[in-house]
Amino acid sequence: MTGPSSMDIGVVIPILSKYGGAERYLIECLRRWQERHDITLYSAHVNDALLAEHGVTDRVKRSALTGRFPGDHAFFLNALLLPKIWRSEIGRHDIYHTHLWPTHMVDLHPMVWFPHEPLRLLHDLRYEQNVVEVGKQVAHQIHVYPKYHYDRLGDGVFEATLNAIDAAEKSARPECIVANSRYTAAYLENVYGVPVKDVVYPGIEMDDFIDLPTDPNLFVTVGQLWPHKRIALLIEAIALTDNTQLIVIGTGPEADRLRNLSRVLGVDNRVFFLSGLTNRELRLVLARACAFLFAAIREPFGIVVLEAMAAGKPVIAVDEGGFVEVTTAKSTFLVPPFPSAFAEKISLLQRDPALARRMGEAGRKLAPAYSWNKSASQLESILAGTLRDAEARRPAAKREIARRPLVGIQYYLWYGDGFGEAHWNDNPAFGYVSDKPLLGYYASSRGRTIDYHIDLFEQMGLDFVALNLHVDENGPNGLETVAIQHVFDVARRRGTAIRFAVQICPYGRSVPDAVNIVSVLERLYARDPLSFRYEGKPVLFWFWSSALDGDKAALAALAEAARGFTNIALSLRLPGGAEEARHTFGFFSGFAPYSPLELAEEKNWEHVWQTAYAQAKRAGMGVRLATISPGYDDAAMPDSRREGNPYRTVARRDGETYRRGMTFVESLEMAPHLVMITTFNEFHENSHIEPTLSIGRRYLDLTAEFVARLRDLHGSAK
Amino acid sequence: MSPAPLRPFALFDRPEINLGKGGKFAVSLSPELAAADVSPVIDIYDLENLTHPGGHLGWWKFSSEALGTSATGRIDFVGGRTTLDVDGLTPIASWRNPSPVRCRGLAVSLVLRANTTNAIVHMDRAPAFGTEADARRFRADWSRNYASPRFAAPGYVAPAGATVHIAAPNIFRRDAVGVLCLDIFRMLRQNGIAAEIYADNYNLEMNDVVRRLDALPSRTGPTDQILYFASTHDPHLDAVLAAPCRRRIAFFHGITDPLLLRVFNPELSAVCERALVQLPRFAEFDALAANSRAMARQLVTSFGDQPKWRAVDVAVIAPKLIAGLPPPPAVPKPVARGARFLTVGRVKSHKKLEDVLALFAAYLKLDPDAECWIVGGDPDKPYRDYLDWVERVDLSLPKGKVKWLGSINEAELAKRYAGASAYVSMSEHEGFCLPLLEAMLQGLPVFAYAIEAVLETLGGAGVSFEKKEFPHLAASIHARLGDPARLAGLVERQYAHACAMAATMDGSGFLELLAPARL
Repeated sequence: MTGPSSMDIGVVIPILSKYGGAERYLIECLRRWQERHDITLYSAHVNDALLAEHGVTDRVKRSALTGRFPGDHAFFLNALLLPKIWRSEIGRHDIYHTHLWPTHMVDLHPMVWFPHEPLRLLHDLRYEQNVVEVGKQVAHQIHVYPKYHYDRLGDGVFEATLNAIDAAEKSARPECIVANSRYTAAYLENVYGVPVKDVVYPGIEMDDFIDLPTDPNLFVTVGQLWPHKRIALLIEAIALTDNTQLIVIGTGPEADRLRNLSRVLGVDNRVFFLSGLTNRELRLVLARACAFLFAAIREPFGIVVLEAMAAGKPVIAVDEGGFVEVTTAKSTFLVPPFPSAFAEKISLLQRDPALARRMGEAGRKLAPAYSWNKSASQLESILAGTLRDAEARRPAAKREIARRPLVGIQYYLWYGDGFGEAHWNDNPAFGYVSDKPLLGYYASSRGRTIDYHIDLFEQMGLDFVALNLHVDENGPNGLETVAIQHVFDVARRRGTAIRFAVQICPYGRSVPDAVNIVSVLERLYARDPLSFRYEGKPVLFWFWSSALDGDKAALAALAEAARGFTNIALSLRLPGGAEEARHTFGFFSGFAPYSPLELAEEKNWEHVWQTAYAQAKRAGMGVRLATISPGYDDAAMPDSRREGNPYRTVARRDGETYRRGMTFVESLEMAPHLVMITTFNEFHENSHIEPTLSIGRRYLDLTAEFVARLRDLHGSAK
Repeated sequence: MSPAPLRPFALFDRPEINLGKGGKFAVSLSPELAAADVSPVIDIYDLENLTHPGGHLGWWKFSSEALGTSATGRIDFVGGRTTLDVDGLTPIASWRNPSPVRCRGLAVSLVLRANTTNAIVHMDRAPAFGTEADARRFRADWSRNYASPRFAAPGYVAPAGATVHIAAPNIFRRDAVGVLCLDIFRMLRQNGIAAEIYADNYNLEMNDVVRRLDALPSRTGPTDQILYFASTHDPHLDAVLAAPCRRRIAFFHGITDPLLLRVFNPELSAVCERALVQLPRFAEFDALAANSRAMARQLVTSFGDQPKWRAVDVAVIAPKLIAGLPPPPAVPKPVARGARFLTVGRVKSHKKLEDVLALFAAYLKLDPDAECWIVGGDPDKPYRDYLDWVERVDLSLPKGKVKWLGSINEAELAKRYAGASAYVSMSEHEGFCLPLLEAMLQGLPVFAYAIEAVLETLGGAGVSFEKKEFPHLAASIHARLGDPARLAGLVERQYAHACAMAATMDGSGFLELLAPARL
């Protein structure tokens, strides 16, 4: 039997450091999925040793998320702000599988959210918190799973905070919510107002248990020591019985309170608190117990009950919560949450070992219906189905192999907010701008700027946009980094058909930096539906200065890092034909001059362009790429590096220069796959076509006519 | 820090009740009882079957308000049934077994129970017999002839009227701490030094020798010394520290890591946790001693930055009195097949007997005729059940290959030492580990897991290992046992080291602790 086809899954969980209920669920699934799918695990803290212990290998990639905020407003910040930070840290994947609250608020789609429970503090546990007096303030001690300690929330802001979080979290709309029981499904439907149809019960490992003689006086419970686990109720029940012992396995902030309770009830020599047990120790304790006790308030599932049944233990539990669905009267006493009710059944089983044995055997027969294989398989099918549905709903993307050339443009996002800021005449050597954009001295990162530019791109009928990201010894340009994120977000909201690719502009020879940036880009954008794809992969453009030509090790490192991309060079040199392999070792699938007007005298342009085009083909590059430009002029900048360039000023001639490039492209016998316009807005080199006071919309219109002619010449891409 | 309030207690005035002479008894009640919210209960069981309901004859509960500081009464035992009368008092509640309980002796408990929770606050117990013969039989296992065996003689004369009060939470005849206390008591008595011995828990058959620890503060005087043996938590520690005396000396045996006990004996584990919390109180003693340098470090570390004590200030004395050395062992014969593993100690989970079994399972692959002898009593039943499962199911050891010999007498133990091929210790906590010394004296090659105190006792002799890699260990032991020269060298080194150690163990170390020079 074959499972669902391979998926690129981004798994998100706040903390994965212990083998608790929800965490166990995920670990068992990861173990079973890791060979079939490409999985990246995102978490603020991952216990790698725990994963290794349970068979999760390095095939599951790990990526760290920002940790929780400490301090006074930790709860609020962690509930609302933290998931949004995580959103920016999580890469792009086919599908997102989020575990626990509030990972649904990362708002990445398509998403299958397995909350295990809603934030119960907002609902049934709203008034189950300890209330403490701190100085002159009264505060609620609140707990958000899977944290180990309390946050504190002042009484005066308690309701307001909960209400704000309640309203905000419902804005997130996962495509699918999975519940661990029918009980939890109904609870989640009630909270979120959407159908929760998928219920996947947890599993157990039947072979994990040890068969030892039982002690009729020994009773066991397992659970973290929070108030809603109602361990106090069980301690009171033990105090009502004779000669019994209770082992409480678990830890938590209620430990001291519960120990004290045991002491004042006179049962501190009969109630024992154990924590940090190994799996084997846990199984040993369970093996020798007479029965398993469970009193938690409306537990979403209660996997420990299932495990106790599998261990052949009768269960005495409260008649509420998800686990009730997997028990029967033959295996379990379901009682009201009264110490006396528990005490009565404890005494009964203590006196009647035969009954305890029969109930244990009945539970053991029920348990095999719940296996981790089954759980993992069901959840995997839900992920696959959700992905299938999302793809069916997605607007048809442009076909990757078009019959006509796809036209794109170089787009610069390095402009700061207003004249005198970055690249608006902030530096005469490389920031001198003589023209004035119609939009004014705009900020590249602003949503309105981006939206306006995308509108212009659409008006021209462009297919793709190259987003320039400059990298120097200080790392990637921060302004561009943020602006690129905004471009994707604005484009997504706009629903544009245009696709986007990053063009890395490495200045310097730091290969590790470049490798690191490529990996970040892959994580952030490679899987984004808005990513420009060619030859089945997202495209990564390289502004190729040739500084690394011939450096085999460096090119190998880049090729390894960027193997998930179609890599295309826009260079200051021509492609090297058959010799190119000695320069770039097959790294690039396409190669063209970045600035076609700076290559030769005007009379030789077509010859040089033709040579470049043919050399790329001779180099064996599959992507035919041509570049065109409206003109060039950097003469106003006092930069010594530019002074040797004999072609610093190439006149526009009212569009004639631009049209020569267009004519060359249209005349090519083997039509290019891609045409790159250099540039949309590189004002300091005056290669821009963006509307300005001096050129108006002239070049916008010329571009739109060019794209229309290509369409007429080669037919629609669709 | 002010000491905790003294606990109420109630004690039988005499160590036993003679049913043949009217079953009379008298009890003394502590003054604290009047203010405590407790009720005295007299609870009677079959002396040889302390279970409910099969061995339970009945209980009688009284109001503490009606009691003064003493009371008298009578027990009548006829036809498997008892009746109880306390002079001038009527029980406020009682229960008598409707079925007769036939037995040769009774265990009569005087229990103080908390009124609110019914928890046991205090308990004293006395045996009751119908005949003198039954009483003598009951007490026959521990010799009350203090002249033998002969230990060290002191080089000083104890001050007139001064008594040494030996105290420990637990004194049991087959437990190392108990044996040590009883031997020191014997040594002091045989040298004419006044001595008394106290414990909270002890073998009931010794209650004519051992007094209840509650009585200690009322029996010490300003010229007396208290020699206190610590190995667990003791609710009486405050009382010991407050008792009037000239000098208090603590001998520390070490506290077992609670984590090693928690699965199979959570109750004992919790006691050890409390004991560790209590350790800093030992800084209040006037002199400290320990059974090993390792335990001295454990004790002093608990004091934090207390400048009063450093580890070197703690006297280290081996925790056993040896009256004479055994003869040198014969040159050992190599054992290619049919090796006999021996391990000795209480069947407690920190001894890691499951690791002994795992090592033995690996050894059996090299020597199918081998056997494993496990000597030791006082098992935690759950742990013993687990070991049984490990032997039968987990390791599938052939039936009969592992001999569970239980608690055996000294003669039988000596035979086992003589018949064994190797002594194996996998224990993960020891304060000293006397069986290692015994094995070395008996010429038995020792293979032991390297914990601090074990290394100290081995003193470089014996074979220790830091990793429990069973197949590798088994191969190593097999090679060692089959090599005559290496085997002889190992045994010879061990014996020389053990003799040197045993020569210091005649009791003089303890006498020196008590000597006036140290006062």
